[in-house]
Amino acid sequence: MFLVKGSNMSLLTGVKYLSLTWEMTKLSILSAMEYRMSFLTQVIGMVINDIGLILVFFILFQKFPSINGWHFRDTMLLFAIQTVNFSLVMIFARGVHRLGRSITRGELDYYLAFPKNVLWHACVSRTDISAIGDFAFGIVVFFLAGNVSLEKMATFALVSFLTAWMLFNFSVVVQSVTFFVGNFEEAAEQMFHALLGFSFYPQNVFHGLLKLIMLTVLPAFFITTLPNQVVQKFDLQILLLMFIFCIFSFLLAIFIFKKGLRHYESGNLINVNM
Amino acid sequence: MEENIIEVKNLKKTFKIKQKNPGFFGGISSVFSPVYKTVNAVENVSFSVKPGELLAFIGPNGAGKSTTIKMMTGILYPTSGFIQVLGFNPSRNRQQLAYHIGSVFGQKPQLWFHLPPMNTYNLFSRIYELDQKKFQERLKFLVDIFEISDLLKIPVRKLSLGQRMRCEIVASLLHQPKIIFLDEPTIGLDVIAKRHIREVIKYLNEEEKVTIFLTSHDAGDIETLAQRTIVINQGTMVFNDTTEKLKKNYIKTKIVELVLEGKTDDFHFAGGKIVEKTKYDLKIELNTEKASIEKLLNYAVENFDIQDINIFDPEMEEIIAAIYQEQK
Repeated sequence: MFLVKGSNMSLLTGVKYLSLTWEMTKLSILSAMEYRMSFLTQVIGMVINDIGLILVFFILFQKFPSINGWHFRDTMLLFAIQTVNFSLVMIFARGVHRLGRSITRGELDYYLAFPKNVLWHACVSRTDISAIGDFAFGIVVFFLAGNVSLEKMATFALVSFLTAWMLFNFSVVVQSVTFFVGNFEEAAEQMFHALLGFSFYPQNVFHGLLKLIMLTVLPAFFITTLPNQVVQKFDLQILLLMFIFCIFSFLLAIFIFKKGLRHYESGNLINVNM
Repeated sequence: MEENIIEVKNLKKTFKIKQKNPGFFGGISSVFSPVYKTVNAVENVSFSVKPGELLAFIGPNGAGKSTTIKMMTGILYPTSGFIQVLGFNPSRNRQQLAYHIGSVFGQKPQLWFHLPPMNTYNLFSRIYELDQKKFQERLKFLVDIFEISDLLKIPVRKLSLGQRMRCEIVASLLHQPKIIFLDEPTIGLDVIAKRHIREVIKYLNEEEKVTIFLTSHDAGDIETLAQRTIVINQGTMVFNDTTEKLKKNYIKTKIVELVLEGKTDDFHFAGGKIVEKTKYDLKIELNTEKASIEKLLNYAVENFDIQDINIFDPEMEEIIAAIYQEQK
């Protein structure tokens, strides 16, 4: 009885947080739309950037139709998952990439004054508008990759969500290092881009130490290879493995952030909510 | 006997600050063998606040005012000591406490900069989980007393500092907090805007019975608003008594600046000491126990052609120096 009541409570809290996340995102988009020109330039600019990247792969695969068993179609799928998961983080939790900066500049004060989870609040209060372009392009590329079925679409949506969650967890961990060592914003950003960079390549090109790194420090294997496999051919075990990794990395991220928060020193810089 | 709404005992907060030698090699050596200095931002501070009090918490820059407020609101963890606000331990129950308190940090706006205040108010109503009907009633009430109905649809970036501060205070009152922490609410405001803010603070305290914890650099804020004042300096509490006593014992002077048409050589006023003098400008330190501002101005108007007048309160550092002087 008690357990049921408890789980109902957490479900209700979860729904409230989800609905608030949507409210915050809408507000961020509204805020960005105050400047229409900048808004449109960012969205269209990102689409053009993505087209450029996929053209490079197209030219490469024209010359080498198969790289370690990977074809252009596989790369397109990989690209679609990557673009969608990255854009989900940037649309709904852009603040995660500013955590280090918020910690060093005392910007967490603002979020700590509210009756909500501070990590959630700091992350969802910002949106990267250009990521809307990324998201739309990722969906288009998924359809262009072919062999689309309802089952594939559902799996694609699920793995995109799970990998976005992994990216988020990874960012929380590296950005939270700032609590302990001071200024770590740039290093955290570099690590995130390293993870993104490695995730754009088929993981069967990495061996030995690099493979180990892709499984641990920069978990590109979980963000690239596994989702790709499961979309190509549904496998519940792989999906379960991804889910376990998500939960594990999420708990680790929360643990490190909470530990770090005790070291938070605030600051007296003037902050503005954009 | 009424129970205390805030209870602080032996509160301490220390920060570790990295020491760096000057120059390039100094910077390099601090990377490999960093040296830290421990700074006591707040040291053994104890006080309590009763419900409905309007308390001023003052001190010079770096005295530990904001650090103390941040510990009371759960933003910072204390190094040691005891804090209880509305029965909550702010470090452990920050989220529950936040439903019952409001805070305005003059230098840290809460409103979304590119959007009209109304958008932020709607968002806050969701964050504080307010009943929408009650929220609308509350908002209407606050909009009326703060006179911001014309500002609700204007993006915050286009508001003046005084207008923005009124909107900021409204944002922190939407959820009907029992205590409001105001950290430098009048910073940078002109005389009229300051007066308006002071009036509404007074109104909230007297009519809505909100307990107000106010920090300010402006002796005028304290004189006009606070019943009790705590003075903090270098992390230590140096005064905790009625504002009346503070005024009577330590804020005895006003600085009056006069710009005259003619030369200042013949200016002689008993009860006022000339502290700065140029050809046409005079700065007079007036002992308000011996002579009133009115008397000084009458004397000036009768004997000189005046171009400009400014009246200042003594600097916070001077008030603190006077407190130390008496304690010695």
